[in-house]
Amino acid sequence: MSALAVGESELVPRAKAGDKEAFSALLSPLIGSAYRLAGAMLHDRHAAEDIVQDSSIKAWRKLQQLKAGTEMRPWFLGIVANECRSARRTRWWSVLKLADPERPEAPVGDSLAAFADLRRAIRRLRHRRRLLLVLHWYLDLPLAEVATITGSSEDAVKSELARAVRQLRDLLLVGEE
Amino acid sequence: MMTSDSELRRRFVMAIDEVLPPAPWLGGQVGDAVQRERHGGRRALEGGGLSPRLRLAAGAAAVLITVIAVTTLLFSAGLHNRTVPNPSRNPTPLPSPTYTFTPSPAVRSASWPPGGTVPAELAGCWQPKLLMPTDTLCLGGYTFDFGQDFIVGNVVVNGSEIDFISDTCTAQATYGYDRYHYTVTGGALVLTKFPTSNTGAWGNCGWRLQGSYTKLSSP
Repeated sequence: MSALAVGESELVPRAKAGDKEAFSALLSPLIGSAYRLAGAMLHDRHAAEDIVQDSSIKAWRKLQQLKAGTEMRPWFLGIVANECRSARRTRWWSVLKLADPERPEAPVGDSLAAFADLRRAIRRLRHRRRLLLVLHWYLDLPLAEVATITGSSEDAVKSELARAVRQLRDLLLVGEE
Repeated sequence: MMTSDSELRRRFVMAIDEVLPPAPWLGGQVGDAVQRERHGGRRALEGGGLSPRLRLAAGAAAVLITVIAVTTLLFSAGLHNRTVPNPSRNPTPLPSPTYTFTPSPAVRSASWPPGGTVPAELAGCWQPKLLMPTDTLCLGGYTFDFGQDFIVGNVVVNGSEIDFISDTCTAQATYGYDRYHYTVTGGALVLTKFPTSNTGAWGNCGWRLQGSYTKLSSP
């Protein structure tokens, strides 16, 4: 059992009893991962901040649903992933995104164009495949945890990840043509 | 140019990092929001109670209202004899993320497990009792869609058994499937997963579709 899990076993019951300090202690180490997950899914830092806040509120409200023995991180990141899915589906967010073109905020040069192509290819992936890549590649989560977050078996995650990588390569090739 | 998986992964990370600056303040911001939620009983966010997205939306809405007001004034001033547009009509309807499931015209593959199309009692969309509201399960023809395009694939129904099939469930050039037992009673659907995993050429999807659902819509 991880050190985090040891802490969780004490903090979760306290948080469920309404202890906000315990909930903050549980959530605090996960905010960075949640922000990176939302940002990688939506490619928008402001939307990512919103998603993390909304997800935190939802986690607080739904904390009673966290089953005994379930680790906080996959449970919370699952909420964040669902929020990203809902956010992408709303037309209003799409409209805002159309008005928010690709903005270079960091390095300029050859790499920028290459990464813009890659980001476009990532955005064209179906939500689930993008989520798998983000969880495993970007957040570096083990396959078992990715499986927990996405509600699949580890084998299914492994094979679907392979397909996601193949599709990403195809999309990049199409972009180069 | 073909890159290795590790190189592609490195570039994947860099591509996202490039548009995602660190947000070290977010932890404190979230902590405050949660604390206010608990004490105030309602959502409280930084920036005067509005999130950045909502602030942007409010700004856009203000601009839209101004444009509409000016247009209405000009219209009524220039066209005295015409009817003024009904002000109660909302010119900018808010998004309605209503999802419509359309079964794909899938043709049965000979390599699928035995079974036919979704029967009338199963066809339509079902709302799970314990999962997210968006995690609807829609069934029709030989197709299913879970979570509004989150997981899509084919189904075959054989008696009280239903197989959820997808080519994403196996690394082999074939399909994988998960088998469930189903019952429909008075608008309630219960899916129970078969305890044994599929073996051999078939992969196991490992989806967690088991549970109780209530009927949302019929085709």
